[in-house]
Order: sequence, then C-alpha cells, then structure tokens
Amino acid sequence: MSDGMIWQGDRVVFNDLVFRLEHGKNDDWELGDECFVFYKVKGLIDDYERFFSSRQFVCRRFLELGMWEGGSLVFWYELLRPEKIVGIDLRKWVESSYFQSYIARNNLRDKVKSYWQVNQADTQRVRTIVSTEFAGPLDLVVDDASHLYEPTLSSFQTLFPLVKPGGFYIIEDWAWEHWPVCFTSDLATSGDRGLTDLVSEIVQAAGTSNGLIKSITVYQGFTAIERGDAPAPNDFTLRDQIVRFERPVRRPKVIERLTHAIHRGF
Amino acid sequence: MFENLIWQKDRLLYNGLVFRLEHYKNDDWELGDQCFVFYKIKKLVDQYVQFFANRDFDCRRLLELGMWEGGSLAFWYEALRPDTVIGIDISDRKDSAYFQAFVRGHQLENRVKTYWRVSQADKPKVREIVRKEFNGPLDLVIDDASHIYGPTLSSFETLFPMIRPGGFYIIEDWAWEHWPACYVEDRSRDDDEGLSDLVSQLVQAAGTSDSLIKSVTVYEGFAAVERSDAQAPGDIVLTDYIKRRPKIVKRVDLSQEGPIGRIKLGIRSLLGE
Repeated sequence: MSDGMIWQGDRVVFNDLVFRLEHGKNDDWELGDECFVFYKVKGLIDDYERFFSSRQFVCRRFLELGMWEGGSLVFWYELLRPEKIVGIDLRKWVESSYFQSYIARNNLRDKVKSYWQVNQADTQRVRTIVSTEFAGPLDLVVDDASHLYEPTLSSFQTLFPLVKPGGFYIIEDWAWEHWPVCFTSDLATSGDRGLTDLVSEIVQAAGTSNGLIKSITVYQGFTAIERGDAPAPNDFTLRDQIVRFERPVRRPKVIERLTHAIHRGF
Repeated sequence: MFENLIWQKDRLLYNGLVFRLEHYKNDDWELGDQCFVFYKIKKLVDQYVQFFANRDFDCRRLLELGMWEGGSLAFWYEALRPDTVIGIDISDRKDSAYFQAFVRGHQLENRVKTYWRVSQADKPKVREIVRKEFNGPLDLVIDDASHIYGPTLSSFETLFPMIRPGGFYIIEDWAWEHWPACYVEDRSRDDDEGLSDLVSQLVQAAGTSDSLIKSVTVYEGFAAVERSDAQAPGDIVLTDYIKRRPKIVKRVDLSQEGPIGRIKLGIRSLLGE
C-alpha cells in the first residue's frame, strides 16, 4: 500500500511527490514551495499501514475534514486511489501552487475537491456538500480538523450515518490530551474538551450494540470506527446509542456513622 | 482458520465435535453428555472470524482464563491450532468425559491442558503455570473468567508483559454493564465493578504511548489488546502507562450574563465589594 514511500529526515517522497514534514522542518530546504506541507509522522503512517493491511478495504468515496493546504488530500488520494476525495477546511482558501499544479497535471479537478471556510460543526453545510459531491454512501471519513469534543462529535453524528456498512470513520490525533507536548500548549490550557471522552463514549456505544458500530480500533495516532449493518435513525445521537448499568451509589461508611450519630443526638 | 463451522439451532458442529449452545438449550437433546457445554453464540464467533480474517496471525502458545468444562479450549484448539493451549479456571469442576475423550482421541495430552481451582487473580500461581507450560512468550491470552474489574486487571498486569510483540490479549464479554439482560437478571453483581472502565483505561494507555500497547480493537463481544514491539518489564501497573492533561476548570467571568455570573455578582455586592 505504501510501497514507494521514501522517508528522509525532512520529507517523504511518495510517487514522485514531495511532502515536507513539518515535524522535521529545518533550514536546509532547497525546494522552496515545491512541496506539500505535511503534518503526519512516520509512526502514524506505519499504523495506518498496519490497520489497512489487516483488512480488505476498497475506498471509493472519501471525505476529509481538515486538510491544511491540500497536502493530506493528495496523500490519501495516492494511497487509497478513491474514485473521489473531497476535503473540507475551516480556513480561507489556501491551496498551494504545488497542489494546483498537481491537480491540473493529473487532470483531477473532478476527483479531488476542496471546500474552504466550512466549519466541521456546520451540520447543514456538511450534509449539503456530501449529497452534492457523492453519488452514494461514504467508504471513509477522516477527521483531522478541530480535535475538540463538541465540533468533532457534531461531525461524527452528521456523517457516521452516511458511511456504508463496513466503511470507517477515522479520528486522527484523538489522544492529544495524553501527550505532554500538546497539553502544555495554548490549545490544551484553553479548557476546551479533548477527544478522550468521545472515544470512551464510542467504545461504550460499541459495547451496547454492534448494530451501528461494528468495531472500534484505537492506535496512539488515530481511532477507526467501523460502521455496522443497521440503518441509522434520522436524528442519530451518540448518547442514544449508549446504555449502561448505573450501580447504586453506596454511601461511604464514615457518612453513615456520622448520620447515625446525628440521629442519636451524639 | 474458522472454516467448517456448522451452526444449528441448539448446537455448533466443528471438525466432528459437538458444542451444545447453552443460550439455545432445549429439551429435544438426543446426545446426552456427548457434547461440549458452550457459552459462545454465533454473533460472538462471527466477530472473532472477522477479527482474525486477513490478519495472518500465527498462534502457537495460547492461554485461556475461564474455560467452563473445557469446551472453549477445544474450540480454540480447532480454530487456531496452537502448539500448546492451557486453560485455567477457578471452579473445582474437572474435565468432562467428552473433553477427556477429545484429548485422548487426538493424542493431545501434552498440548491441551487444564488447571482447575486457580483464581485468575492469583499472580504467583498464574505466572508459575505459564513458566512451566510454555517455552516462550505467549501469542494469545483469552480472558473469559470473572468479568469483574479487580481480578481482570490483575491478570492483565501479570500476563500482558508475557505476550510477544504483535500478540493479543483478549477480554471476552467486557461490555456486560451495557447489556440489560446481564445486569437486570443478576443483581448480585451490584457491588462488582464491570470492565467498561478497564477498557477505557486500556484505550487511554494506548493513546498515551505505543511502548506497551500497540492497538486496542473493541467489538461488542470482546476487546483485543495488541502488544507493541518494545520490551516490557516484569509486572506492570496499568495506571503507570496513562498520562492525561490535568482537568481544567473554566474560570467564570464575573461580568458574564447567566445565573452563575449573576449569583457571584450578587454575593460580591452583599459583601460590599
């Protein structure tokens, strides 16, 4: 799958395309803007490789949330060769010239599409884009957008029902709350909720029933939720998919004794 | 790997063996004790089939915790064909006659073994059995024993480091807290903590680092924890492998609209600030 991917210190060369590794950035760069800006590291790609190689997965319709300057769209297109890949990003139009010439050169204007200034939590807009661009259910959604609880949940609830049985919904970098390098950053001290609780909730939904969520696989760098065979309700919410036994709350012994003492009048 | 499974309404036929499905037990049974007692249903086995398909998983050394009368040992032996499969169970049952005939008939005395009256939480005993019976790291552990948080965690902390890189630790029926049929019928479990929180902790450990856990795959019927490539120390403490950003409480802006802001402003004005 990733045959022909050549990793070097500051770049990965894949099918003659250059992806500049932002995590390995240095001053010795000789190619100027002749590259894709790329935020994935080798460990993450290795895990994707491991994940996809242990299943027979055909990806025809692919939606990506959060795509930076288009580089990850190209990466996924080269890796999985979908019939169509559509990207959504909150930012203003920032397609690099490297991206534009890639699209023009390979005649991919109808197969690789990008939508800018779209919020992943804008349910209506996201739904419209999917129904405009795709002729059938999605095979794969990759969410690499906000990494915050609310908007990520919103996208999941909008899009997971549109994934076909056996397809996957992937949330990238779900575990940043567990990475010291992240949780000392501005984002992490803002008080916004991360995605760990969301992943726990999806695990519990998978445990409640395998109808909608057939499985969930968790790696350090991403989590992949497999769509089950059951049809999704119109107003699908994650909360409705979780049933859990509430254990009766036992009062701690100290309080019991104290209560007893109060009743006795000390 | 799971070829030739023949499911009938009250039984599973597999390589000439009969597994009686306890969930579909009826009075029309004509075979007496000539069967394994079997607690797995088709839905669960289908999830295993899907999990192991395309995975190219070589299982030579298999340890099972909780085995009823030995039937599930026979099932796993037939499915994965390990060199050695050892079962541990806390009960003082013993090998059923059908199980004994299976072992003798296939000459598996040295390859399929049972240990009765061993608690999964008895760390020294469990460790001793593994060292004695296996001549290398484990490929697969299947925990179908207590389904209670404490003993299940204990087994995991003892056995997970003994699994080879790429091997799996499987916890069966981890999700019973989410199944009304389980917790409604059996209120005696009120005090026992289930496994849902344990699976959440395993997920968080996988998110913290891939030095111990490479991946966690969760189905309704089981959770499979994949061992990473790094060397593991002897015993582990799961919580040592979980780091998480400290909880951040958003400070309430006193000038804000809304009940909390108004209450705080009210208190301030009462105090004459």
